[in-house]
Amino acid sequence: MALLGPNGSGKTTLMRLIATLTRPTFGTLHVLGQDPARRAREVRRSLGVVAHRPYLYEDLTGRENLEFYARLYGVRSPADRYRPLVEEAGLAAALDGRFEAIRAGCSNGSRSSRALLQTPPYSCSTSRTPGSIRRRSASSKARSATQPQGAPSCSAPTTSSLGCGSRSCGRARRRLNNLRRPGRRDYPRPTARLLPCTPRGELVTGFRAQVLAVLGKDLALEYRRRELVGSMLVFALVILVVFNFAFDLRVENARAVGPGALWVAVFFAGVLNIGRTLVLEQERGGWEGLLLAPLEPGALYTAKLIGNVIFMLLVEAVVLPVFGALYNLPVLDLGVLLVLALGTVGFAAVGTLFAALSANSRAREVMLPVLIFPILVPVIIATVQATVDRIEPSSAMGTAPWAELLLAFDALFVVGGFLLFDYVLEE
Amino acid sequence: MARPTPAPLPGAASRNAARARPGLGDAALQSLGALTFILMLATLYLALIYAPTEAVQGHAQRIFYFHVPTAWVGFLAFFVVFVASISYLLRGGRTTDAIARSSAEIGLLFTTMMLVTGSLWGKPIWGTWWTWDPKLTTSLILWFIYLGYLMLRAYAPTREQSARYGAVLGIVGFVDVPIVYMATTWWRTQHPEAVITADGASMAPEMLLAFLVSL
Repeated sequence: MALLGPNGSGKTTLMRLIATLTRPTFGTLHVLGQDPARRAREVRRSLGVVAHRPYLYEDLTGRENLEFYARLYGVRSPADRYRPLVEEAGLAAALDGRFEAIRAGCSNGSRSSRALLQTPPYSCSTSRTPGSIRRRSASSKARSATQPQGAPSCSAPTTSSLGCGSRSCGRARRRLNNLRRPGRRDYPRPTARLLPCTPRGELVTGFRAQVLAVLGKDLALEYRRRELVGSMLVFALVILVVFNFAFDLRVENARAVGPGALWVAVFFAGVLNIGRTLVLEQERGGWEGLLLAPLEPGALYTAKLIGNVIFMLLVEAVVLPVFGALYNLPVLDLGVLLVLALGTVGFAAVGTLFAALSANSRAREVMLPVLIFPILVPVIIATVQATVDRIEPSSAMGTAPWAELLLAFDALFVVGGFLLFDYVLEE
Repeated sequence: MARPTPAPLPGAASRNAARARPGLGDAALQSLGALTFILMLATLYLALIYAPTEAVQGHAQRIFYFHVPTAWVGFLAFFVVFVASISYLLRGGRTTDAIARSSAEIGLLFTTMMLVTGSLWGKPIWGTWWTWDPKLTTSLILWFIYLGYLMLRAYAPTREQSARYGAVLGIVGFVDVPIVYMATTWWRTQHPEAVITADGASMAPEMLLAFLVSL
């Protein structure tokens, strides 16, 4: 079944509504018997979507992309599932090359393979140019061969099953009726409503599996690209040096002022890059592919949080000794390392959430620091003071329980981010 | 109170349409505005003329009647933002979102007034425009969080995203403020500064009256 309409009539919006990427402003929609606004995960589990963009990661190989999505959807043995699909599409040879090297024509096949990994009862695809409709009819035949019997290979609900009343629906309806001309037997008659889906017994989506899948993917991407950790590291080192000129950090001052320089360097480098993981997903990867997957609540946040913590710890592992050497301070101390770890977790907990908030806003680079630093004031105070207390056993009137404060902050904001991240993700 | 009903103005149709939007009707807004104006005049009289001059600080103390109520209103507004944000995420609705956003705007305005009046009060009394004591520092951070809230909402691409992002930030910000206060208090006790004159806990009855009316 095909949905046709002039430009701006709402075809893509309709597909996005069905694919649970957007919510309707008014009216109701039921996909496979479920309301996508409330039961997004069930709907996503039953859909495979092929859209304008491939939602595949350009820096991973075809095989890695397919295995990643298979793990997200909980397919039990991915290789058994994607091998026949890939052979149908004629892409077996290209499976181990980086995705960006695959030509556009082949990418359609990979897209379809990704969308069909979990054997959805329905798959939807959108298309821009009329030429690609002809190309896809060949691959549609291939796809329908792999579908379970009785399920159509490409379908969209007709306007009669939706509650919309806008004029564009009327136009789409007229177009559909025009298709029922004699001789065009290959276009099926529009169905009156969508059939409910059968429960899928073979999918095992688990929180842990999804977190590990996304985390593994992020670490693999960073290992390939080597962008984030390297740039964070160099930036932090540069700031450490600049501080030497900004403040007088001669020996007598270094113990009191030095930790401030260290933490400013770490936090500024972190702020610059914590948003990059998300931006890179949007530009060179499968951000909407992630949104379309049936993610458990909080799984994406946990994976991104752990990834960000790992990247920052890697940077700090180099910055801390360099700082100790530059300013001659005994920072390789267990107490300092504990504070380092706790502060990093707190920073990443707030940063991951706010990175998602600012990724879609207009002044994105400046929004993140503006939002994040006021919230992080307790972390900044606690980490700097705790470091000072460890380095210079203090003559002040007793030390405050900074490590406990950091622990409480971390606990509070990790839980908060866990609960709130999914609200930010909805389109 | 008996007021003559105004004759229907040429814009009556558009005003009726405006009434369909969430918010108070025109008559209610007008009477609230009138009441506020009367109370403002009363406050000015009570604060500047009626209340006795404080013994130590002199006339500069009169800023207290404006400074502290604006502070309370600012904090209360942030609490309203917090509650409305939770309500919006759980149930949604344009009215709830309108409450959150307008409360944030009010809060920002009053917090700005609080900071400015505080500085004006501080200069003659303490000899400095600003100190980094816990209350002031937390208020400044609160001001920044409000400002970030309004910036985020202004820069969000769609109205629905603006509402959602604002709700998330409203919750996180409010939860953070007590922690900021705790952290800055501990920070200050480690590095104590010059002691500030405390606000008089016991005020003369006339001063109390002036304060309550101002609030």
